[in-house]
Amino acid sequence: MCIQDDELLARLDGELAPAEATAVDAHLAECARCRERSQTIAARSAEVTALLSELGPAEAATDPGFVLARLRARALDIREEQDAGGRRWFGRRWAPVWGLAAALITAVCFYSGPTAAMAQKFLGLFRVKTVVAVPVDFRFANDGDGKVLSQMLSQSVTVTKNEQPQPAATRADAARLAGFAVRLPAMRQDAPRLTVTGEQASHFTVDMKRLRTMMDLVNRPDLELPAGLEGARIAVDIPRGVRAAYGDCEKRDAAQGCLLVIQTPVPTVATLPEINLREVAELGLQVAGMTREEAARFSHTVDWTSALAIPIPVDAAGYENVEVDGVKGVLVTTRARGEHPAWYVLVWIKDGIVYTLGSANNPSLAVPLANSLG
Amino acid sequence: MEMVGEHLMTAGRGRAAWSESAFERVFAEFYGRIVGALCRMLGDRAQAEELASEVFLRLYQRPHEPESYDNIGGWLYRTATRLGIDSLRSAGRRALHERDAGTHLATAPDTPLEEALRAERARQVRRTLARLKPIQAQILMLRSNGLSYKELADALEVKPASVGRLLARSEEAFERAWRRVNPRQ
Repeated sequence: MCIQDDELLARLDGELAPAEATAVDAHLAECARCRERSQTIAARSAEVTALLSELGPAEAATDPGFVLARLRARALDIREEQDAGGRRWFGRRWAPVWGLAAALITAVCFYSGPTAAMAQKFLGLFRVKTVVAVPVDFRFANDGDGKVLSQMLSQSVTVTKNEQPQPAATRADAARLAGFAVRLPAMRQDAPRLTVTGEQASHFTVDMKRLRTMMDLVNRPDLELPAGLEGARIAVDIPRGVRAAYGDCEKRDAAQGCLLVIQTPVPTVATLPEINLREVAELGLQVAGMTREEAARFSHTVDWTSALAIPIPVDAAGYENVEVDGVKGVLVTTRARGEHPAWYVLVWIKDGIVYTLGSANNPSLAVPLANSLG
Repeated sequence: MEMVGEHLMTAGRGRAAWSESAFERVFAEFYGRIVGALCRMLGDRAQAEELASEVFLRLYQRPHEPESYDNIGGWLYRTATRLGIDSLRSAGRRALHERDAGTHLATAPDTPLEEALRAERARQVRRTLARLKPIQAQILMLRSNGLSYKELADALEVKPASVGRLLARSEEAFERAWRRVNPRQ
């Protein structure tokens, strides 16, 4: 009996088991017809292989780390669209806008004076000491262009470090992994679930053409871009932090007793070369809905050299300045939306650590809880 | 800022989503290979990367079932080559309205002749692939990327025993289509 084409091809491809191969060879030795077919198949296979090899080797791919970061942004984008809800403004879809910290608003937060002594070749290096609430009207990005804008922003940001979070069994473990003493609220008797958040580093290079397009997208082609920004590089490094979750934070309603306390050493922000960040700050504030005069006025009320700006979406949240843990802090409260409960976040900076404490419980408990950290 | 954002995110999603580290592992292992396979198929790195992103995005959106990990590579190759073939086919339809062969050569006057001829031939190979049934083009591309019969069976979700037959028929179909695309040969 003659051998089928597929078996002849498999023999040529070396895909037959030794016993089968021997049997095929034995048959070929005797059967001229099969030998001829085998030759035809071999010739065809060689031709097809040769032609396909004309397609050449693949070129090197773009840095996979960069692609992965972009992909995550896209995936989260889609998820956020699928379950649109109250966390819209604070959700990770808007991480790039929060990453306005890394882009426009980074600049807003940290103005460098000429006296700032700089490490390495970076000319700007900032360590924040206090928090300041910056009311912003995010509606500028709410008109369908938000997606493009956030994409443009995330494409401009190169993530250079993206450590994964890791669980910690005890406070001591968490402190050892994170490299600083962990403070927990004495008012809570239950044990928290501790996670050490990974170090995150990224940098952003200003591209004036792209910036101009972004201004067009937010319908502010009229805004003047500060000169000397082209090619400026802004690098942000957020160290490892510790996240303590009390109660059931799956649903995040008050009844579940969820309380989140996150503490992270202040981020390092560096710019190369030194840029006039106050100008950029005012640009950012104007994009965020202020008039030129308002932006200038606001920008002068803040010592940008040491302030961490907390953007407060005016249509979704309110805030008040409070005394907490011996320093000034900002208590942000968001309104309930759909299935998402009202939520508060208290932010303050003490001894080089940024603390955030958030819960759905009574906001009047925020400061006492924070003051019980020890 | 993310620290604040983190507070306000709602946790808990309806299905088994990918953990970041599991996804990252798969990504690190396969991204380069998938881009490579698509790049050869399409001859356009930017397009290959775009489609590769699409493939991984689709993976990310699938529920994560660790037990199916073994065949993630297969799933990725199948999805990638399928997207690649679709893209080649739609490019083929567009090309119907273009003048043939020589125009391409004329567009690259600075390229050494040999290089231009090679590029032209690669284009014809792609046009040939676009004329095949998708599964035929897929199996040929995947084998030329070095997959074994067993891997081909996994990637294309066909029985291992039928890989040889599918390959033999695909080569025949390729040869016929090649003669039609390129009657001078």
